[in-house]
Order: sequence, then structure tokens, then C-alpha cells
Amino acid sequence: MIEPTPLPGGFIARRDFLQRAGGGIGALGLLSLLQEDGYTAPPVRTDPLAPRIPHYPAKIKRVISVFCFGGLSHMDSFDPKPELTRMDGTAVSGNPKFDTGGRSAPGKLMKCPWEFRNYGQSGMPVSSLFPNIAKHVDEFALIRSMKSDSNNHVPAVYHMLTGSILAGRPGLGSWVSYGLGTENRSLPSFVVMTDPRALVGGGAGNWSNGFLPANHQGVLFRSQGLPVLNLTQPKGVSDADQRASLKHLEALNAGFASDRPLEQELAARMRSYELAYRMQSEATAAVDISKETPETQALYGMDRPETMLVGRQCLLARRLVERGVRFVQLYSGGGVFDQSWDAHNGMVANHTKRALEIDQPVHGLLTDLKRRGLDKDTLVVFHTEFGRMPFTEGSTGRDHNPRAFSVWLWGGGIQGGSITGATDEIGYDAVTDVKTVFDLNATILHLLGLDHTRLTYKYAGRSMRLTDVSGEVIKSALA
Amino acid sequence: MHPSRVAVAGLTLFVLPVLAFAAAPPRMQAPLQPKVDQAFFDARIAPVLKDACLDCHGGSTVMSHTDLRSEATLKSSGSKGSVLAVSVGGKSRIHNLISGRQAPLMPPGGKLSGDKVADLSRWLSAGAPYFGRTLGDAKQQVWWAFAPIKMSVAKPSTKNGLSVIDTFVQAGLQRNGLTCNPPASRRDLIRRAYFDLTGLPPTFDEVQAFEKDRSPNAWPNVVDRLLASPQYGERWGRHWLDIVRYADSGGFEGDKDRPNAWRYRDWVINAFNQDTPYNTFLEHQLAGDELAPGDPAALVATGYLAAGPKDIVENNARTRANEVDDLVATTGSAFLGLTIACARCHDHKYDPLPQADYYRLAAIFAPTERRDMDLCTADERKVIEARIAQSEAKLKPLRDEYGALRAKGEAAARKMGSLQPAEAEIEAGLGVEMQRYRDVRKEIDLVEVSREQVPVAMAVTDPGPAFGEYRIHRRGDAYLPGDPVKPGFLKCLPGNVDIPDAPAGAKTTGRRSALAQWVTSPENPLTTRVWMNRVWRHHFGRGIVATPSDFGVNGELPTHPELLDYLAAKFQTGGMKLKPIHREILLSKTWMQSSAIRPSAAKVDPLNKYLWHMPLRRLEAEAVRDSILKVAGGLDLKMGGPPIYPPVDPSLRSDTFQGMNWPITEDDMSTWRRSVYVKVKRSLLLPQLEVFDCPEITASVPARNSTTTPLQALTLMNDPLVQRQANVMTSTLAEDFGFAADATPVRDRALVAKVYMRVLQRKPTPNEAQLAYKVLTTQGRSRLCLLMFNLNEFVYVP
Repeated sequence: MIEPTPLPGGFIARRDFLQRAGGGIGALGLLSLLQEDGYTAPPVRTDPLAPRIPHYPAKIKRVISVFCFGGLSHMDSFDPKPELTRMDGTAVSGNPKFDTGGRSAPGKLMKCPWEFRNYGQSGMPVSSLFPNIAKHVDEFALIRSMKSDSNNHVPAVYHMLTGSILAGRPGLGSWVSYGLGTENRSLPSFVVMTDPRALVGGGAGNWSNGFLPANHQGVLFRSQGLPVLNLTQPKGVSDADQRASLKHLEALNAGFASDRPLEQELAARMRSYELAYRMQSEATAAVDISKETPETQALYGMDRPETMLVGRQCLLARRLVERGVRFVQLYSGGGVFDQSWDAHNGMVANHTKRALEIDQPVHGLLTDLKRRGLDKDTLVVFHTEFGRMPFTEGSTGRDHNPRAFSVWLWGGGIQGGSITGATDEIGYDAVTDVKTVFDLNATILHLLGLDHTRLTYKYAGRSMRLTDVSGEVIKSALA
Repeated sequence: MHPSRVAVAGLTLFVLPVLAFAAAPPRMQAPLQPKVDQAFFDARIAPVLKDACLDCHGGSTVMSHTDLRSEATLKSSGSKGSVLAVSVGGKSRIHNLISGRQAPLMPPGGKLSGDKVADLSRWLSAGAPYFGRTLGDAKQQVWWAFAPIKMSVAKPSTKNGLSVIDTFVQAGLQRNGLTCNPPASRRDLIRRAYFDLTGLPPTFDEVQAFEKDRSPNAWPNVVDRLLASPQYGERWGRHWLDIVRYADSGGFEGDKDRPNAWRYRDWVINAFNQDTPYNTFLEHQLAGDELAPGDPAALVATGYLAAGPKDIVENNARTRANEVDDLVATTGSAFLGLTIACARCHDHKYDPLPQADYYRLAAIFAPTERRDMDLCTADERKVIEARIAQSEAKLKPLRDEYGALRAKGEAAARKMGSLQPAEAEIEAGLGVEMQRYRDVRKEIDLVEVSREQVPVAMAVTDPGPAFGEYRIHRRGDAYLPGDPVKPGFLKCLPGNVDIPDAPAGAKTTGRRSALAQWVTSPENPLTTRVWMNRVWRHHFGRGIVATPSDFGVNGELPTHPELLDYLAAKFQTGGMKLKPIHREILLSKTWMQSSAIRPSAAKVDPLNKYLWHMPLRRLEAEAVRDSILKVAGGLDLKMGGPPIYPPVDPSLRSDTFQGMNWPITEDDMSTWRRSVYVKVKRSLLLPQLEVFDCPEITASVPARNSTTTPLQALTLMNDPLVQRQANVMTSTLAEDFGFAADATPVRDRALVAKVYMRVLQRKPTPNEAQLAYKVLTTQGRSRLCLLMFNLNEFVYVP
């Protein structure tokens, strides 16, 4: 445990709090604001978002998760399969070896419609879907042997991002926020940006705080304009007015709270006002990309319509981590079929369009993080919920494949140019050095200095973990 | 609910409730490699041991010194050395006896199936763990929830003014060394009752009257008055609408509006207000068309069957199977508290629900078709249609212009590489014409919101005996037909018979009415237990069974099983009327206790399973908005009718194309109505409600979340709608006082008191009065009102 075990009812023993507060943590912004004005201090409270010391020295401080919703095809991106090219067109219908989980009937083996090329000193092959991302192969650790527990989008996304195929578990970002707190008290510790054209399957269940304290919930930033609704105070209300109002509110709340010293929610709610107030200025400033040079905007692809959307998200991601947001998650794709990477109806049209949208922006993100020195303590995770089948669905599509897919990690503590695991000769099944979602998440936590077996929260009589009861750090991906 | 999410969920084999961790969502995917864990043991090992082994190796008989009831007895089992010791082929003796490698074969009656042997083999290889379980003797124990309701529960004797409910709760407390809290204050009590039963705060005068009324009937009178008020049905009807995944649109891509869905919503509210017996209530929802032909209300009630999301883009055997699944899953979880949907692809992993049972139920709903049915005569329809045609003719040029602009924008967006252009992309594609495009839309909307409709019931029917045979879908795939099934019920519950074929010439198959009667039969132990548990949960924040839609093996066990049976029996013998149950609960000392937290009790029972206090609860989304409207003084209690559309931020309309269906409206009295009447659009929930955890409904929502986020703070501090209500309150207060705008210290101090009385139904303390006076004089009246909406005391009910 990284902190005193909270009692399941949500209380933290007063003695534990005092020890922590005495240790110099527990900065209570609004409280100090109040004291300036001579108001009576509200009752003792705990602070779930205070920065915390990890289990062991961390390689990175923050994470950007780029999630391709719908299922990115590994054979068409990061896992070339010459044997599949050779066997292109071979009918496999009725072959009992190939199981789509009762979804579609396997058609014919289908080669990758894109060319692979070797990149960098490592010579890692990447398909022509990602010519720009490919420039970073020497700095990223590719894992080609991922497996998921589910063959359907929503449970598979939940599995990837919360560790369980069922709704209701805390998201990866929530666990990180819980484990490490936040470095910027004026922004949420966990920010989510979805594809504004269609929501990712499973929706808010992917960034829910689950059973963790509510402060660890991911906050959804909107795609344009101000990042959340109601971020500005009403017309005619100045910043000083708003600040004064909040001090008044705190004071007016004091009586109700002091009658109920053990109701942790009341204190949490007042903290949410403090954060809301600070968000008004900080979040507004954080999303003001007009401060970025045209060169930077172009680097992220913001000068072209097809890359503008993801470009903005990637640029915002950098601006947010720069400001100390602990975990930023952005989604490419949502909804169904061609609104996402879910290429049932034809690989070429679907993946070409999706890849075009993210290739330049993600390249821009990695380049920009590096030139600002943020690559040393930032991790970028590029992941998806499952891969796709080596054979056709219909004539030119590919169905879901939870048996094999690729993800990569980039940034601090990563073994650049490394490849972990392998799929079989046609990419149907991960066969060598198989890695699970739990292994991947354990690795992410490890880089943050968190031991995934010790990052627990007592709930429903169990010490819950992001990695349930398994997961091993993927050492081959680490420097 | 975002339609695209509905769509995705629909594509998957099951529709997942999102964020509903308090209830167990359906379990759908077996992991590729099931772990040998407790669940595996319970589902795959324990049943085999019980069925095949314990007759001779456990309980009353222990043959060959082998006793398989527990881990300890197994480990010391064996007449020729331990049965777990490695033997022939490197496997244990017990493994070899089961697999037939060594004689005698076990069980002697015949070899176990390959699956079972494989399961046992994996379990034995894992060290034969029992996870602390001790198996009973051979007789299969009936799962508590499937056992008949004990109609005459031995009631503990009632004394010291304790009610029957109290004595059950007291027994649980005593067993755990706990006591309950003293009674809540009279103000807390009446406020709690108002929120609990109506979702609205009382007035200051109502609180005062109750505080002064020391007659023995004071409290029952309050409860009776609230149960009789129309706002009761709006509050409890909303609870029901969560459970039956009600919405005013169809979800999926496009999220098409359902202009007649609201009649079902009104029918539900009315049914609660009328205290319609629960059996009739359910029967009409499942089969009103068959059971009460000619009763328009019963037809409207079948809106339950038409309320699920529907994919209008894709229409094939698979999407049809998904629609049937919605009905099986919702009926199973909402009415029966069972995760039947898990049995769509395979036998339920935990509960006795074979896949065949799922398809027997599916065969009941398979013939069901959505069908809008007129609630007026043909002549009346003609007259109304003529009027609609007239107003439509006026709109025609605008619609044409809008359509042309939209097509133009879409074409431009496609040229820019968008496969499925979103609204923002369309607008961007229009360039200078964007403003015109928006203006035209607004003009159309203003007419649309108040347009006349032909009265139509969003209902269902079925084709009668013409409906052909129905087959199991192997692995849940609509394209893999398996064995034919007869429509019927669940084998684990009483009364499971095949439904007879409909007689020739029948208008419908009669399957749903047979189901309705089976669901509501007094012999069905789940229906009333599940409903009483939901009712209890709404009153106490936690169910007697903490998983309100899972009474199966994976659900939580009841904390007070006898109390649950007492309530169920009382409900049944009382004619399935709910109001007497509410009354009995609200009159109990258990419900009337205070919400104070005693650390000693919190340590023993942090989840308050045994009800040592009444939990402090945050108002639900609708109650937050409704309370603001009420204390501000502008709430219109008008009931029923087509949904209202409070204005939303323009960016929400352009951010997704689904948002385009939200008309442009003004923030005026026409929308200051209770939130149960706000449009429930699956792709665009009213942000003021969504931010307070109003659920995105794709499937039945057994329990809402209660989160605390900065977005809630931003909403209550900055949202224009909230701001507007602060202004409304300022002016209604001035009217109450009958004074003009000019402020004097005396008036302002009186106003501060009045503000507290309105918002919190009490007078301020001297300290509060001082603080509030400072706010009023430095920031203004409206600002003070706004801050009051933000108080913890306003949104939390003790």
C-alpha cells in the first residue's frame, strides 16, 4: 500500500491524516485562501489528490495514452507477415483452426495491402500506413504478442483500459491518479479526449473512478472551444467575485460539515469547487493553442483538415502533461464501423483514413515531447482493444482478433527499437512470449514507480488491483 | 447515451450497463483460459462434486475413506494412501479414477463428460483448492432466491414501539454488536420524506407545521399526504424508467426520435400514483395488447417492449436477435433480477440458466413487432393530419433549403476525406453559408417543438399462429441455427411449462401474456422479492440484496433474508400495492433514525449493511434540478405530455450530428418543469442532469452512480440555467415581500432569513445570517441565491 488503507466506508483515520499532513503533504488551497480572509478553518480533511511518493524511483512521471478504438490491424501496421502475403487468397472457410468466436465466417487469407519498410537503426518494419510514426521506431518498444480476453469491442476496451471486461472498474488513469496524485492542483489529474464525431464504445466506463474516490475520475475535455462546459463565470462576474463567492461558500458550508466530521464526501465536494475554480483559468489557458507557433501547429498537422482534429488533441495532450496532468488519454475513433478502426467492411478505405488522421499528429507529439525534453519522464502508450484477422470478412474486411495484436510504448525508461513477442506465421495467434493486458498495465505502472501488486484498494472485501491477480512487468521492453 | 455507443454495444453480443458496478452486469465472455479460482470452483467443480460424488463420498456416507466435502477432508482422503498422491501416468489416483485410467471408474454409474473431466483435471492440477467452501451433502440445495417466499415468516416479537421491520433490523444489529441511531430531528425527517417520496423539498411552512404538530398522527399524516401527491408518481416513476431503459429516442447511429414514447412515461407515472397492483402493472407492460384489448392505456403500457434501442441502419437476423435479446435481458434483470443474458451464447456460468432457457424466453419475444397504434378514430386522424399538413406546408420551403444546404456541406466534407461527416464537418464545409444553415434550422425548430401530433401509442403486436418455429442460436450467433425450442419459462423456477400453440385464428401468439402470468404468479419467488429489494434500496441507499439486478450466485447475499420475505409476503397478501409498503417503511424506527456516523459502528460495519444509521445521500440529478426550480419559485408542476427541451449550449448541437435533433429553445417557464419530463435523448442528455450522474441508458440501469466532480461545481456556479434560476428566485422573493428594488439593512437581513427558509427550510444561525448578509451586500441578492444552490446542505439529504 502506498497510503494508509482507507476504510471501506470512505473514512481515513484521523491519526493517519495527521501523520500525512505532518509530513508536509496535504496542501489545501482553498483553506489557505480562507485563512487569508480570517475565516474559521473548516474541519480536518484528507486530500486524495496530493502528490504521493511512488513505491520505488520512477522512470516517468506522466502518461499519454493514444487509443485506437475499433481494433487496429497488427498485420497491416507493425507486424509484417510474409507468409500471409505468400498465401494470399487461400480459402480458409470451414477450417476449424480459425475461430472468430461465432462472429463472421472466415473467407480467404488476405495479405497486407500496404508495403512494409524497415526504419531506423533498429530496422524495425512499419507499413506505409504510418510513415511518420515509423521515424520513431528506435525510441519505441513494440510488443507484438498481445492478447485480450474478449472478442467484442466494449468488453475488450474495458479490459484494456480498466483491467476487467465488465463495466465499473477504475480506469488506468484513475489508478495512476490514485497512486501518484497530481502535480497540478488546478487541472484534473486525469484528462480524457474522445473522438468528437462518435464516442468510444463503453463511454465513460473507460475513465470511471469505479470504486476509487471520485476525485480520480477522468474528466472529459471537449473537442473544440473551452474544454468543459461552464468553464467561464457568468457575464458580469469578475474573477475576484468568483473567488470571493467560493470563500463565502466554504464558510457557509462549515456548519453542515462540522456536524458531520466523518462524511468524507462533503470535504471532497468542497475540494471539487476549489479545483473547479482553478480549472477556470488553468484549463482555459491550457487549451489556448493560439500561443503555439505556426511551425508547431503544422508539426501536429493542424494546418490540414484531415489531421486537424487529432493534431489538436495531441497538442493539447502535450500542453496538459507539460502542466503536470498525470494521465491524458485520447481516443481515435468511436461509434461503429468506419467511425472507428473497426474495418469489417474493407481494410483499405477504413485504415487509410484513420491512419492518415493520426500519423502526422502522433509523430508531431513524439517529436515535440522530445525537443522539449519531456520524453525523459513522459510515456506514450499506443494501444487498441484487439487486432484483426488474417483472413477476410466479406470480401475485403477483417474481423476482430483478440488472439493477437500489437502495441508500443515510447518515452522514459523504454528499450528503444525493441520487439517483444511474436505471432504465428500469418498473424492469427500470438505464440511467442505472449503478453496480456495485465502485463502491459503492470509495465506502465512499473515505469511510474508503482508496483502493480502493491497498488491496491480495499473494496467489497478484497484488495483490488488494476491487474487483478496476475500481470508481469514486460522487462524486454524496458531499458 | 451516445447512439454510437448503443450501436457498438448492440454489435457486441450483449448490451452492457455502463458504470453500473453496484449491480452485476451480465457476464458474457469466458476468458480464453478460465482460471482456477473461486468462481471456477463454484460454477464448474462444486456442482460436479455434488451431483456425482457426494452421494457416496460425503455427508452421511463416506466410502473408501474418501470424503470430498471440503479441502481438509479431501486432503486426508484415501484408503490406499492419499487419493491426491501421484500415481499411474504421473497423475493423482483420484484423477485416474475419474478419467478411467485406473479401475474402478468413478463415478461408477458412468464416465463423466469430457468437459467435466477436463475441469476436474485442471482443478486437481491446481492443488484441488476449495476456496474455503464446504459442500453440503448430496441433496442439491435450492439457491435462496429460487426458494419459495416464506409467507409466514416467524416474526420477532414487537415491543418498545418497534415495528416488524425494526425487529428484523434490530436482530441483525444485535448479532453484530451494533445499535441503531436515535431518531432524526423533525426537520430532517420531513425533508427526508419529501425527497424520498416526491423528489422535492418541502416548504418552510410545511416543516414548521410538522415541527409544531405533536399529535401522534403527525408523522403518518405527512407520509400519507406525500403518498397521495401527484409528485410521488413522478419521483418513483423515474426510478422505474431507469430499470426499463426508457428513452425518447432509439439510440444507435442517428438516434432517431420517438415522438410517442412519452405516453408510456406518463402511463408509468400514473400507475404509481394510482398504486396499480404490481402484477397488473407488469402484465400490461409485457402483454397489455393481449390481456386488455381495447384498453388504450394497456396498449400504451407495451411501450416497455418498444423502449429499447433499435438499430435502424442495419436490419438483419443479427440485429433482430439483438432486439430480442434486449427484451430477454431487460425482462430478466428488471423483473426477475437474473442475468439471463449471460446464457445467450452458452449455459450460464454461475446460475442454473441453461442456454435453452434463454431461447425459450427469446421464443416468447421473437414474434413481437414494434407497431405504432392510433389512439384516435380514423376520422379524428384525418382532421389532425389536415392541420399538420397545413403547418408542414408552411415549413416546406425552409426544410428544402435546409436539406440543400446540408447536402452541400456533406459533399464538401466528403471531399475533405470524411467517410461519415459529422455536423461540425458539415458546417465547416459550408463556409459562408454556415450562418444561414443555422438560422434556417432554428426557424424550423421553433415550429417543431410545439407541433401537433396524431395521438399514437408506441406499442407492439405479433403475427399470431403464423409465426414459425424458433431455434437456438448456437454460440449466440443468429446465423448458426441450432435445435428448435418451444416458448417457455425458466427451469429453475416453478411453473416452467411450454406455452401452448395459439389457436388457429388468434390475433397474436399469446406468448407474452403467458409470460406475464408466469412472472406475476404468486409462486414465482423472484418477482416480488426483486421489487421489494429495489424499493428498499431507494429508501435506504442500499438493498437488502446489494446487487438489485442480480439475485443469482454471483450477486450479493441478502443481509436480511427474512425481512425481504416478510416484505414480499406482505406485498403479495396486500394485493401487490406499493403505497402501504412505503408507509410501513417510513413509519419504522429504522427509517426514522438519524444519519449521524458513530465511529465505533462505522468500524464494525462501514458499508452500513445492518442499518445502524440512515446514510447521508446526495440528491439524484433530477432532484437537484427540480429542487432548484422549486425553491427559486418558478417550478411549473404541470404533469405529462411531450418532452420538454431546456436549452443546451450551441456547441453541443454542432459537436455531434446526433445533437442536431435537439431543437433550439428559450429558457422560459415552458421548460421549468420537472426533470422527468425532459427529453431523454440517448445521444444527448441534458448536461445539467448528466453531470449529476443521470445515466446513459442502453440497458436496464439497476443503480445510479453518485459522483463528485469539479464539473458539477462548474455547473452549479456558472451554468446559465442555474444563473437564471437565481434571478428568478431574487424576483419571487421580492414579490413575496412586496418591496421594491431599494435595499435597506433591515430588509436585507429579513431577506437573508427568507432565503434560508426557502432553500433549506430553516432559519439561519446568527453566524450564517452574518455571512449571508455579507454575501448579499457585497455580491448581490442573485449571487446569494446562487451560492445557496451550491451548499452541501442543499444537495445532501441527512
